[in-house]
Amino acid sequence: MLICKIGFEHVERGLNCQDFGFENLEHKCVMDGCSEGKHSEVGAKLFGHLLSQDRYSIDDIFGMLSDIFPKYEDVRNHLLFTVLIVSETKEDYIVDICGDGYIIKQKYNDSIEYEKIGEGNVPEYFAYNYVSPDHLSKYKDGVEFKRHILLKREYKAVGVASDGLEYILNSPFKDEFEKHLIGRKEFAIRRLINREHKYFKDDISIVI
Amino acid sequence: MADVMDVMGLDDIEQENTAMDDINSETINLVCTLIDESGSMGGNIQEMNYNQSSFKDALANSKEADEMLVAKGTFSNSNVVIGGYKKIEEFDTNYKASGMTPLYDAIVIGAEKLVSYRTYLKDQGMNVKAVFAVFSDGEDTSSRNSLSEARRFVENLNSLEIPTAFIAFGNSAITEATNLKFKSILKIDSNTPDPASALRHAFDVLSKSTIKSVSVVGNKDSGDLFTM
Repeated sequence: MLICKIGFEHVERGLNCQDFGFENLEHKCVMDGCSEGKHSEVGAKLFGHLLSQDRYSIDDIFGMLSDIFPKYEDVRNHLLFTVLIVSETKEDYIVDICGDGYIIKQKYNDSIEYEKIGEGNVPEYFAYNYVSPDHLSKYKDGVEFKRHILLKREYKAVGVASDGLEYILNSPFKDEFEKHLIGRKEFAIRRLINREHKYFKDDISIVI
Repeated sequence: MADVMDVMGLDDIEQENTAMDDINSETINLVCTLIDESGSMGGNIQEMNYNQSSFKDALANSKEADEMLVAKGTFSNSNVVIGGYKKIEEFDTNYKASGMTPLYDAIVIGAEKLVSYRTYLKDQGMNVKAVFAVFSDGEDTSSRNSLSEARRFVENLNSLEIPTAFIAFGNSAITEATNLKFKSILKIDSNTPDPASALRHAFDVLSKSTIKSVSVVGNKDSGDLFTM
């Protein structure tokens, strides 16, 4: 189930949705473009498009993107985005994250746990690796994906979400959302976000 | 209008139409077709049967079919029967003709039901578009509502940017449709050499225009449904 909805503030300010997501046989993935970048959805969508083909590594893709956007200003405006990827082995869910967001864990009794990643920190955007350290106040030594491994014997399903999920979790509609999430009622969640859009200020992407 | 239709509760609206849980979409297109079954339409029974089936097939085979709910209303004598908004597969293509023409009542009830369900869906977070179409040879002969009352409902639909279309069988119907302020009027001329072909063309235009109307995002044209 994949949901990607524009946030209310983006609508109000005439911005594009800067999130993107996809799911295929290999990966479930969401990207969340940095709101300070003028067009960060461009990089997020290009990255997602290329990764979804299962032909290129993450380094390959950022290499291509940095060829398209070679200057520091280009990177800042187009390539700053969080990446959260779920893949599976026979026994594990493997979650690779560079930046911030949420891991959503569904246990076998259908209880849901939300693990916030990168709370309180400046997001670690992978594109910082393609910028001269002179332009960076943090992460001058580069950034890496952090891997989280979750056991299939403990969790029925694992997904990821962009940090916009916090607006749902802190809203009066958290229980309604969770009921639909457990039932994988994609359109009911979409309609909930439409119906109460003013609560959901940031773009929201969820894949599980 | 309370004497024609009681105000419906939310449960009634869900029960009469398609329940929210049965809609696998966040976008829906409501198509209201009101069909005159008065006696004066008797010469068109065979063609109406055939063309309603074609209309149903055209909508059912369109890629927008899953995002479309269709209500069929019929009117004759003092009877106005308007079904709920259902998937196109449930569209009843049977046609019969007898009695008088309660055209204004049909418009008032049909428009009221359309706006009620549209409001309900919007309140649930659905993106809703709609089309309102009438097939009739006019003139009204048995309504409790007046022309001005029916016109008020059509004008309300127009103000909500819901395309309003009148497929008019003859000159009387053209006059009615014009007085009622329908945005789009298509004439079926019974004096043409091949009126069956003209009716077929009308249904064809309606189905294509309906599909086009519901599939174009952000369409801000003049509101005329018939563009082909």
